[in-house]
Amino acid sequence: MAVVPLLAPNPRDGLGRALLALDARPKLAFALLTGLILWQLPLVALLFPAVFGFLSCRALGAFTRTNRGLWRMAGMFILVWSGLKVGLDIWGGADLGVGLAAGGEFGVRLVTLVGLGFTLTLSTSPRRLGLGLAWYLQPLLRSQAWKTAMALSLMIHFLPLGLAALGGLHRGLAMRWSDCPWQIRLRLIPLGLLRVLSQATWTQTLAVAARNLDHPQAWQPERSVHLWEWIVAIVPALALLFTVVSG
Amino acid sequence: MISAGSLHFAYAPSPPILRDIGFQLDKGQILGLVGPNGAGKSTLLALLAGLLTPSTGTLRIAQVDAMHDNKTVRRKTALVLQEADLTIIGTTVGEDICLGLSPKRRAEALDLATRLRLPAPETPVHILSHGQKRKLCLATALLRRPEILLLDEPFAGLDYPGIREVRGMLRANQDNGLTQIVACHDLEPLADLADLWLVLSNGQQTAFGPAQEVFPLLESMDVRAPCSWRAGLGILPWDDRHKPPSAATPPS
Repeated sequence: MAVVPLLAPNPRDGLGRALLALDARPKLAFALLTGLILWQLPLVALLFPAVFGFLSCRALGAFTRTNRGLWRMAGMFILVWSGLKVGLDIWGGADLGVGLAAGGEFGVRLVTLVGLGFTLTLSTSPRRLGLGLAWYLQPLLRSQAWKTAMALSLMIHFLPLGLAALGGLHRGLAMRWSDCPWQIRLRLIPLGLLRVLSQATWTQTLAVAARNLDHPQAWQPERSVHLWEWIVAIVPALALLFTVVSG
Repeated sequence: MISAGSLHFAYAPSPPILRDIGFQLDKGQILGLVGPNGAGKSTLLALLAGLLTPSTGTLRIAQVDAMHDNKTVRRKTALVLQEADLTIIGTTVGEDICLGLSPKRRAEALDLATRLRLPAPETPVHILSHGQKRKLCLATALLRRPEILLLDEPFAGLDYPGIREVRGMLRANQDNGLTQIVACHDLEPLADLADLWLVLSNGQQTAFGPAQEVFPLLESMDVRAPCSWRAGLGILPWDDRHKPPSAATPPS
């Protein structure tokens, strides 16, 4: 079972390395703020996060053959939702031109969101993402926050394992029963996946316990966030917010 | 170091998975744990690692009563599972090897990675070979400074250089006085390293002792003895870098 991460970073230059080195907490703050502001940004201002998303994805080596499948899925996601937007607007009484323009604008916002999302995922390991999120949830969850970090890390870590198992099942079925009717395929593959993943989940639970990672000390942030890291992340987000507020 | 007597284990209310297991192991010894698939080797390792509690019997591990104090047992033992992809949780070698370590010990972890000739810390784990992943798992276990190291099929799927490396690590651990239990199907790479052997069959202990007592019985227990033993040559060193053959005598 070849396990390849959903998005494999491969930093190409200084920007890529800088993004990888940046702590997860400011990155999460930037992502959260920008993700909310994005929907209200004027199109011209939207260009900045869109270009940043593209450049950072490029700097992190996102446009590789390894990541091709995921980009295709993201493209499909954007196309489907933009198409739905066009369809719903026209159904709601809008002209074709107006509907297409609204769908296009919606698509651009989604492209920006996907670019920024991939930047966050590429530049932050599942463990650091989990630790970052747990840090924000600390006031709410108190001593249980580490469990969030562990759960999120393991969940993200498990995704490629699940996809690899799914790919293996597809290939196995295609070899054993090439003209298998889709109805049977629809039943067999989920059942097989459930069987494989339930075993893997048990083994992973044992592995986490065997590595002594099921205690709070193993899920503490490795360092504190530098002031410049907060500035680098928050100032651009605030600038975008200012653009929205000032109209 | 380990003393087990009449150990039983069951996931209640199912029938027992392990029955009547009893053995003793001294500090620095290597125990080869063998048996056919489904014999209960991995379950026994999980019991010895303090991840499961025996249903009945007595179990003392490093002077700790494992029937009542799993937490301490877990601190004193380290288990390396067969499934490296599920054991490695970090994204890079450096992140994985430092997982759960205090900042003070991270330098020690990276130093160990260098000594074990693991790839650079920033190397993504998904590009590691199977052997390198195994080595990384072993390194993370050693960093816990266990008194007892438990290894589940450490040679499975490894090529010749990979097996040599794992054997080298086992020997170095032995020299450092670490007690080790190695579950395996193929006895060849372990034959000249293990001091004692324990055979499991259907959850039951069918043999325990040194090679000269256990190997003659293996055929009847669905376990294949090493080739040299079957050829009547006793236990030969696995490769030319090894210590002299043990005193075990071949079957008549």
